[in-house]
Amino acid sequence: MSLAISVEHLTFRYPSGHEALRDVSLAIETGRIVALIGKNGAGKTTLARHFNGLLKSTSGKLMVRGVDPSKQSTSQMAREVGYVFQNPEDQLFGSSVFEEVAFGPENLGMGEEQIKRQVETSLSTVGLLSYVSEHPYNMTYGQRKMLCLASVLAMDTNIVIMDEPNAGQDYQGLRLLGSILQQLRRVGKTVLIISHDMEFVATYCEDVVLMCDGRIIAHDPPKRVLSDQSKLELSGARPPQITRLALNLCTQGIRSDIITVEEMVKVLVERKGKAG
Amino acid sequence: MSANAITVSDLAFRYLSARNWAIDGLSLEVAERELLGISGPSGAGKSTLCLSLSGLIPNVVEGTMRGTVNVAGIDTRERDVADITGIVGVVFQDPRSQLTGSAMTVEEEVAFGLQNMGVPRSLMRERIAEALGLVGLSGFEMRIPFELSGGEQQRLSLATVIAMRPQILILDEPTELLDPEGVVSVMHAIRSVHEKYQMTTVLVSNQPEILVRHAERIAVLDGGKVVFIGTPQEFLMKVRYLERLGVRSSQVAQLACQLDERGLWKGGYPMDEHQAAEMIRRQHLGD
Repeated sequence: MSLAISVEHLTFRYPSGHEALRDVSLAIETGRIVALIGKNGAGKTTLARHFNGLLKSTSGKLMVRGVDPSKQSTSQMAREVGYVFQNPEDQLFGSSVFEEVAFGPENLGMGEEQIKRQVETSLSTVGLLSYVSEHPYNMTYGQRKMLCLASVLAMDTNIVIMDEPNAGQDYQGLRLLGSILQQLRRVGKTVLIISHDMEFVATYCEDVVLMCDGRIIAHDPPKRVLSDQSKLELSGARPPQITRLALNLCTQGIRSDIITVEEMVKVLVERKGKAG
Repeated sequence: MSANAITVSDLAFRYLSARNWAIDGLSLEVAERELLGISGPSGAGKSTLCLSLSGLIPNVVEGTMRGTVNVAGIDTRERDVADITGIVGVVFQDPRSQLTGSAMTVEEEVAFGLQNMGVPRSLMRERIAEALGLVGLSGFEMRIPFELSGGEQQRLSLATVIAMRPQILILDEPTELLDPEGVVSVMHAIRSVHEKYQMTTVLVSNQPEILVRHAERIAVLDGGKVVFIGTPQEFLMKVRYLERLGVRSSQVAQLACQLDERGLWKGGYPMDEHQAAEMIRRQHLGD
């Protein structure tokens, strides 16, 4: 399996002297949907911003799709790595939804017809095609976040990074986001998603990277990371509610690595079947 | 039955240049001292309701309004927003957008609203200290507001609002953009404030665990109307109905619902994982 991202002994210090990343090593395979979790200030965004060359490490080695981002121009990296910012206000600037989404493809030098196609496809993916001529500021916070995602999807990059895309989304927004992740997975994209929503991570992500104080303290499938209460607590997170229930019941012989409601239903139905 | 702090009668509002009514025939009564939770999909009218309760609709936000909104005995159409600000305090979703931007310290940030209200200096110190204490920000007086974490900024917003001692507190998705620690600290602050001042509180949230734990009643909005209102226990039983509306239920309520549909659950649905564990031990694990 080829590596989309490989990090070795990466350290990053802000000009203030604050060491935001401490000896971080990480390998992400191409085509994986990976969650990056941990409390605010743990280093998640700082790490992710190295992958598209926005930040340059103080020391260590980084390869993104075989190249070192710090040796590439910003526009070269923009073809490889799409980055959806946490706050839509940091990303949006266009006076219409169309203009906003067309900006990336235009910069990549696509022709007019292709730009139009890219804009329409990505807006329809995020459910905003009917807003194509609206002004972004007439949209709700959740819609503006989806618009930011569309403008990144329109660039058709091999790696997509999303910084807290689920914040401010309602249930329908979360389900749409989940189906977008599955769609990206089918076409072989590598996705890195920063999130605090453990239910969402349990349902849609294949790997979880847990960060704490500038270090990676776990990198495993969700079942393993989300049921490790002590490590999660150390980094200011909690298992999803259904896993907290499983942990509560594990003295009665219920597995503690149950991370979805469906699994718990299955386990309890089976127990009932045996007993009855 | 105590008097109502909030009475909304057949309210409708359409934003200027919008095609549809954001709120369309909404009626709601909130008792004095009650903590009412509100949930609903985006576009249901939750934020428009908050703007209406704060008097920004119809006094500042342009559009067409029908019906009436009465807060603490005042018809919002008949008073200036400045008057209503002292009676209804509002905390919004995004902590950064609420900071004045001109205050250099946390203390100045809280003082800003009090100065505008003409609170005397001696009383101001007392109010600031009390408000910061209640939200757990004692010792932060000289810190720079923009350098605080999201949870701290949100507690600061709450402090600036409660220092003005409003009779009604409106919280529009105050924890949605925070990390888990931020959520816990802000909810703790909201509880402390509600216990101390017994302010009538409206808490908008799409986080079911929070609503069920903290609200006395929960209203669900859809299409600009109240489509459900009831106790947390009643709300918990509505898993499938809420799912159709696009409102998430807590995982333990979903679990109980799915077992119930297979004939494997007795009684109400659990409030949290501890109650769920107890019920499952009794019903399924032969304890």
